[in-house]
Amino acid sequence: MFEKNEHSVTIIGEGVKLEGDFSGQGDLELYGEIRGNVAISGFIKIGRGSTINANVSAERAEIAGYIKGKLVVKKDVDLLASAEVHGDIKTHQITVAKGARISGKIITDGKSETTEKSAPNKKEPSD
Amino acid sequence: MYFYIYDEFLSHPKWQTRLAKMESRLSLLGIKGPVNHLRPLTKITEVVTRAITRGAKTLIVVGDDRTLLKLINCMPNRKKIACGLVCLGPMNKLAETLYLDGEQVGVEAIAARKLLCVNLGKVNKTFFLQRIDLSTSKFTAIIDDKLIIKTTSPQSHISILNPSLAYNSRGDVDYLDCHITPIKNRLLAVKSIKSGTSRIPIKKLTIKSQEPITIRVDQEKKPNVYSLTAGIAPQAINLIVGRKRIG
Repeated sequence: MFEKNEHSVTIIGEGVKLEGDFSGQGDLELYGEIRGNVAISGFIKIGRGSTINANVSAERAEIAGYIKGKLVVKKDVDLLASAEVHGDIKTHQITVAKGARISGKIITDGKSETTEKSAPNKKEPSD
Repeated sequence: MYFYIYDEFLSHPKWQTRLAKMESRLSLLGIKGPVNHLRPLTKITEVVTRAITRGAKTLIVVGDDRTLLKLINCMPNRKKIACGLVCLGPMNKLAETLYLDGEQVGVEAIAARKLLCVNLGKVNKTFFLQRIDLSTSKFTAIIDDKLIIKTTSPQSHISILNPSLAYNSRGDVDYLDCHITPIKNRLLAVKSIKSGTSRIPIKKLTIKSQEPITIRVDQEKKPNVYSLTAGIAPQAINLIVGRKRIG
């Protein structure tokens, strides 16, 4: 829907409802409501009081609102205190604030970039 | 070949001195050409067609923003013809965006011939350069024929902006910016409580409403409608812009 090269932010404000599948490049900030699948290649911010009833796929996510559906995030997920997720979460790393509610599985691969960079290269023993 | 179209209001005597100065400068720069004055019964589409038939490669309107808008509505599908504006008159917001405010700056810009190919927006059958502003209630909007938008507030303001014409744009943006601002309290017109504005990039927007939609195209009021379709006409026009304009 909004496939363009430059970095840009789509904002769905409070009091606005979207129905349908929503996809593209760039970031998304949600303060309203979406019914439909969301697939973006950037950062998604789900503000407090907002709702998504569908599956969500993004590179990074910050959740303070309500999601009913599967959440697949390539890098990091931050669940803030007001977050409520009803569905599975699949991500690289997750932070869950006190008070966040989750009803579903959380699957992380757990490898951090710093761990991979600092691991010494194994040398083969010399004869 | 340069062809000049003078807006109707310039026939008033108060503009004659400035016009004479402008024409003298055009002669000096070697860019003078045939002139046609718009009259109450003259259709600009006929003037433009006649000019192009006579071999005009550059059409210059002398007037204000409204004159330029009259010209651009004749120009889609005629990308080979460059369009310019010499700004003389009260409304010059578009001229400022193009760095063409003032007749001297306009004349120098024609001589320098810096061209910018920009997208046009289209709402129903009218093209717009910079923006349209809508106000309505109880509407349903469909974005790109697949996303449905509704608001919960009694009234909403919708603006559709052409980022191709922004100050720092090179004219190659392939979308329009749709801004939707729900207004919570309709009665408090002066101090209306507004919710946050949504910003959605679009290529096409269809709006249907049970109540009349008030519409302004590039600041000019148009008749109310009950439905409209707005979209983008990519790379539709070649505009002469000022030297300071990026592009």
